[in-house]
Amino acid sequence: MITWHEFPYFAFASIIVWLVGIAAMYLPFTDTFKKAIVHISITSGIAAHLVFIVLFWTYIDRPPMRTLGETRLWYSLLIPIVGYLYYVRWRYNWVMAYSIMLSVVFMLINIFNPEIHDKTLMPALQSIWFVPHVIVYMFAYALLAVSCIIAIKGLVLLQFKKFNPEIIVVARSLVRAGFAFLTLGLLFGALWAKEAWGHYWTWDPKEVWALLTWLAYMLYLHATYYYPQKTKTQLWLLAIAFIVLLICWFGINYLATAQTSVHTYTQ
Amino acid sequence: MEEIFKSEKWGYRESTVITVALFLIGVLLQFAIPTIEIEKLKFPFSLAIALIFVNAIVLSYFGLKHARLIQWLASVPAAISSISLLGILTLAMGFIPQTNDASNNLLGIHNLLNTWYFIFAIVFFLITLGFVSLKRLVPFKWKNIGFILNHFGLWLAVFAGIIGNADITDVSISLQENRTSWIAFDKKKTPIQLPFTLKLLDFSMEEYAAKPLLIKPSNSKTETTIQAFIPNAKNDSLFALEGLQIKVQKRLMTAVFRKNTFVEFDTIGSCQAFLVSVYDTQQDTNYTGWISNGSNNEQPNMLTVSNNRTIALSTAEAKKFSSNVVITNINKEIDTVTIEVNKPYNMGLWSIYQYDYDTQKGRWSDVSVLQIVHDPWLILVYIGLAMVILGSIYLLFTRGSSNDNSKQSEQ
Ligand code: HEM
Repeated sequence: MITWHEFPYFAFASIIVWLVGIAAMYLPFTDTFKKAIVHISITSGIAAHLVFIVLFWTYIDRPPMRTLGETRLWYSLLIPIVGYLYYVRWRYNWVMAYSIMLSVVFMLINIFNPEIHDKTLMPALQSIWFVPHVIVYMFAYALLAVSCIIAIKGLVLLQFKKFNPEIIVVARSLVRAGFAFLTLGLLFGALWAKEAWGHYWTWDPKEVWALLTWLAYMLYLHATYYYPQKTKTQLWLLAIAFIVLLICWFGINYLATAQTSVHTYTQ
Repeated sequence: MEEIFKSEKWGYRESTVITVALFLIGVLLQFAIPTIEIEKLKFPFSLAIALIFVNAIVLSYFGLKHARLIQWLASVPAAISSISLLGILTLAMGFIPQTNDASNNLLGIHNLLNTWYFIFAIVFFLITLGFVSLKRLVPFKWKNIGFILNHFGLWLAVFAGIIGNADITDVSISLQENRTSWIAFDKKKTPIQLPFTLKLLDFSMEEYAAKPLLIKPSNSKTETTIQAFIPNAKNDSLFALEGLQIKVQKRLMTAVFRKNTFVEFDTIGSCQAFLVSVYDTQQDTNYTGWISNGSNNEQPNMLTVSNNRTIALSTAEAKKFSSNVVITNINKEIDTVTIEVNKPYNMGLWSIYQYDYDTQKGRWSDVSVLQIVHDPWLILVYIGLAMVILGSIYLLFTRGSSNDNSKQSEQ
């Protein structure tokens, strides 16, 4: 039986192998040796975390996607996957290092602030849309978080006049995929709402913020398409869009408008 | 050459001016005519408006293709402007509570969806998106398929959703067990006659096991703190909390209190009752007793332990609830169906949802409230959404290009 009590063991196992992998990237090993270590350690860290989620899911008898703590679990699984895929595809060491760092932060939050929850799931959440809706959203958030980190890195480099145009290309390709997942998440949510409450769109506060997040990234995609040379504006847009995303994800619990939302997570 | 041509087009400066002007006109209009009754635009007006709008877009696009205004409306600067305007109004909606309260509603800010400036923003959005879709739809090229799925699909979903909004019937009907009814009520409590009849055979509910709680008096003496038990990792009837070892000996999901004890008896007003034993490790004492969450027939029961602490049982949460209903339609066809949360019953364009029940009676409610929705435009919205879903998948599997880069690489 796997519960939050066992989470630290899995988390620290993942963190340690990931750190080994990251360290290996920057140590003066031979190329083949380095590659082997990186691939093995990153994938086994991801695997350990995945195993925890699967066992935890079977123990609590419902998808672990209801509370903020549980969504952080998915987030810290999916971000390293994104980082790793970008590493495999484009050889970006730093994208992977950043994404692992981000994931570790989320794991540590869950270790030091474990939210111990009951096993109940209210009837409206018992839907076939629940799992795809949340997973797709977490994927979008993972991709967009990495794009935000890249934007911040870009803004810092611009300040020091060391800007690397590659940043623009990577950021845009991340957002393209992130936006696709964001769209799927939004629409799965709409289809689910129709099944559960009879309407696909009710301007519920969470829906308002999800729409806003979507519009912000839509704006970025079109602006970068039409004004590709406006580097600084693009990077700022990305950073701001991610703030909107964060408000949508958990800031909403603190907003006056959201007191009536069906989506605010009960703690 | 191309540079000069481009500079004649309207760019983002002109776009900003036009968008701000549009917004201000909307605000002025809102000032002059504060109440708009969009919900009155039902069929056949909705269909008329839809046809006029589509006609206007198609005709003006093909007839005035070279006019600067039309060119601009089909361009990225206009798209960015309309997305921004919509975004700013959505942002306002994200911060200002939307109460629909008529008083203290300066310029409609508490009911933004029904203001002139919001309507302008959405019409601007639909015109831009409509022109953009036409731009790549005619002449049709397969390489534009992803673009068309995303843009035309979104246009169709938003357009049909907005135009069709007034035609939605959304009513609820309260059914008494074994009685037949066909009169439902809308949000304003207006009775609406349904084209079918409903008879509730049975309402039923399943509950989750309730949670044991530790209640302790806090220091201030006025508030108490409640802490839910955390089951031991190995056994969900064992708990350890604040020096107490608590074990659930017995769980009765439908219990009644008879002759000083709880017995299993599934009847109206039964509640959940757990027999718990507590060992206080600090004081080396044992307590045993029943805790129950009570019902409208039964008193809740608690167990008092050391230091003025009590152990109680939370109210149970519904796991699922459903109604067994006989539906008879106009053709006298009879169907017996089960309607559950998240599992509505669909009959043509009508959907019937499990909505509510008599919460006082809980599990033994003999009343079930169903929600009934009729949305004739839904199919168009769904076609649009399906297109956008395919468009997203297309985005995932293709690489993007920017305006300039794509032009350079083509030459
Ligand atoms: C689901 C939402 C949307 C997605 C996924 C999307 C995606 C895209 C993409 C990928 C492009 C680049 C075209 C290419 O590479 O061939 C593009 C261009 C464009 N989009 Fe969108 N877009 C969306 C919504 C909108 C909206 C709402 C508008 C307008 C209000 C709009 C207006 C435009 C315009 C004007 C272009 C340039 C087309 C051209 O110059 O031919 N898009 N869009």
